[in-house]
Amino acid sequence: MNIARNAILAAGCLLAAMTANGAEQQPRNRKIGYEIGLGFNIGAMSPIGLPAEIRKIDSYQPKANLSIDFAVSYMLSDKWGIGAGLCFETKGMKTGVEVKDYHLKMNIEEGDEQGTRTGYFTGRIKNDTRVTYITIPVNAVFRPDNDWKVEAGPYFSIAIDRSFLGDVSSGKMRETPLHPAIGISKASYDYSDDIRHFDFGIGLGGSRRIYRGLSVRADLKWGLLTVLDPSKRTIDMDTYNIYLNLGLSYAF
Amino acid sequence: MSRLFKKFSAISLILTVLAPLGGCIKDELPGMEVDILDVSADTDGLLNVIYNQSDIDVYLAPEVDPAGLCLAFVLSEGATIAPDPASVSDYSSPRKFSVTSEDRNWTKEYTVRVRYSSLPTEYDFENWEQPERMRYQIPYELDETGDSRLRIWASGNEAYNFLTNKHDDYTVFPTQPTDEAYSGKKAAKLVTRLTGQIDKPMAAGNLFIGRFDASMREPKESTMFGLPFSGKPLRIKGYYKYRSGGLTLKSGVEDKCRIQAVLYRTDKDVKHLNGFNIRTSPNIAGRAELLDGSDTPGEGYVAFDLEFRYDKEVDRDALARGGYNLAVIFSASAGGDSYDGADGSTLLVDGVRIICE
Repeated sequence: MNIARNAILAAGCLLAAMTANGAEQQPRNRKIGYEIGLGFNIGAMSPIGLPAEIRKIDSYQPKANLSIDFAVSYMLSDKWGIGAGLCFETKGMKTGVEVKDYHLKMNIEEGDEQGTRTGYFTGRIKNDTRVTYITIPVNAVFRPDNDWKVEAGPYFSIAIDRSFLGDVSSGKMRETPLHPAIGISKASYDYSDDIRHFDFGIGLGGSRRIYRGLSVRADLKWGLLTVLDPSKRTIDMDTYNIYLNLGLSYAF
Repeated sequence: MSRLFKKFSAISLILTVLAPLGGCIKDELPGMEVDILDVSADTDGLLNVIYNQSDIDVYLAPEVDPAGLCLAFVLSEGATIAPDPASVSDYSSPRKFSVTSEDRNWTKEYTVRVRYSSLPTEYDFENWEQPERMRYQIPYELDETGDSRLRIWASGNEAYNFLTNKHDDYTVFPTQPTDEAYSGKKAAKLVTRLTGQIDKPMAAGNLFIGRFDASMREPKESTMFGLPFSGKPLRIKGYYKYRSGGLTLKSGVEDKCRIQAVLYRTDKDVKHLNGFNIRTSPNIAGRAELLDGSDTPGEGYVAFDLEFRYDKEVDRDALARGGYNLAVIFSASAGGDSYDGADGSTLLVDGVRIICE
């Protein structure tokens, strides 16, 4: 994965920058500040509140979603400033759920009968998603003191790599309760094209300096746009990217 | 240090915000299903039950009096039935029941009919009907009076129905009527089609006496072959025309058709045979089978005349009491039960006769 290679490169640069920078500097006191950061995203492509059709969560597995970013901030006063950045990141997860009478759309793209079908599915659904985004956050920056920094603001993302694979198994599907149920042992799908190319949302993050220019940080990014394109989506549920980024940043 | 602690508090606060997104399973919604899943009787003489959408045919042994019969139904979870079957004790004429889902949003009407083991022995595939809410057609036979439809034929169309989006165009289905008949106006046309499903890549054109239950996850369990038959069949004959669609999807051999008929003993454990045991069950008494399912010569129909070979003695008394089932099976792809076949393989069948002793 490109991202992984970039992240390793960035980690190298970060270390190099740390050793190169003088200890006496107080980078955060500068009017214009630069930071590079490295972190990972934990979270989910999640509905806001689980629909009642989901009966059980069999598994949830976060992925090693790496992020690497570069940020610039400009202090307007002692404590307040504005910032913007550029971030390469992946957002992904693996989930397994059991559903009952869950309304699904299915795209049949091969065979003699192609098109979209809808119906109620009872059984197991497994999803495996991974999207690589280029994200631009724009933030208001608050620095109460030399160590702390709080940032909040919107972000905009462009998906450069999209993957959404899954399968339904051990279940049955029917058009309506009045139609016969069709047993499904296992059927796989690939809905990668259903993921939108674009995402935006709001972020809230904080960081604390732990050593010289190095800080730990946590940053919650809450997507406001459904991840799946409503015109194409096959799962009848609004899901959003909700991810917490934990990591390190280095100011220079 | 305390500041750092605060920081971690902030992180745990954020995690607490995230947690409910994954954590809360809501109360289960009331069920929406309105199925009659099983039928049982207060007598041993219940031989077989055919569930055909909203028609339920209960096959009884000849000695059972429908006027004193009491049936019990197993319904979808939480569903209710009216009138209460416990209050119904006369099935001399068809009885209507209405099943309402637990969420009260769905209601399905069922007609329950009593049948005796009197399968017809001549099949001309002249009469076809479109089951309620379905888009395909299926042949039916008429009882001795000519008034009541005997829904003895089944096919995989029920599963294929979900795949189709061309509403009310029955010609897209694997099993369909055709005007290209040997005799009369219509014949049965069975065409193998591709489904685009990864685990079930094709649907063989098939037609058989028995019941198809699409809800079975294992496709070989979906085909429930056979219905009670009170004669000892000697031969099955008729007319067919076959065009292979080429090489089969999985094994890559030339596709062939299959025509077979099986007489088997039923007992408490074996009410029907399915795709797993139709060739191997110890209950099988006799079998007639087309040996070479290759393309038929010429442009028209070709006659077949297959003799039943019996491995076991047929118990006459049991036969008379409805203790044997006859399965007649046609398939446009011999390997159709394991999803092996060639797209477009076409079998036409007409004028089938069962010759009994």
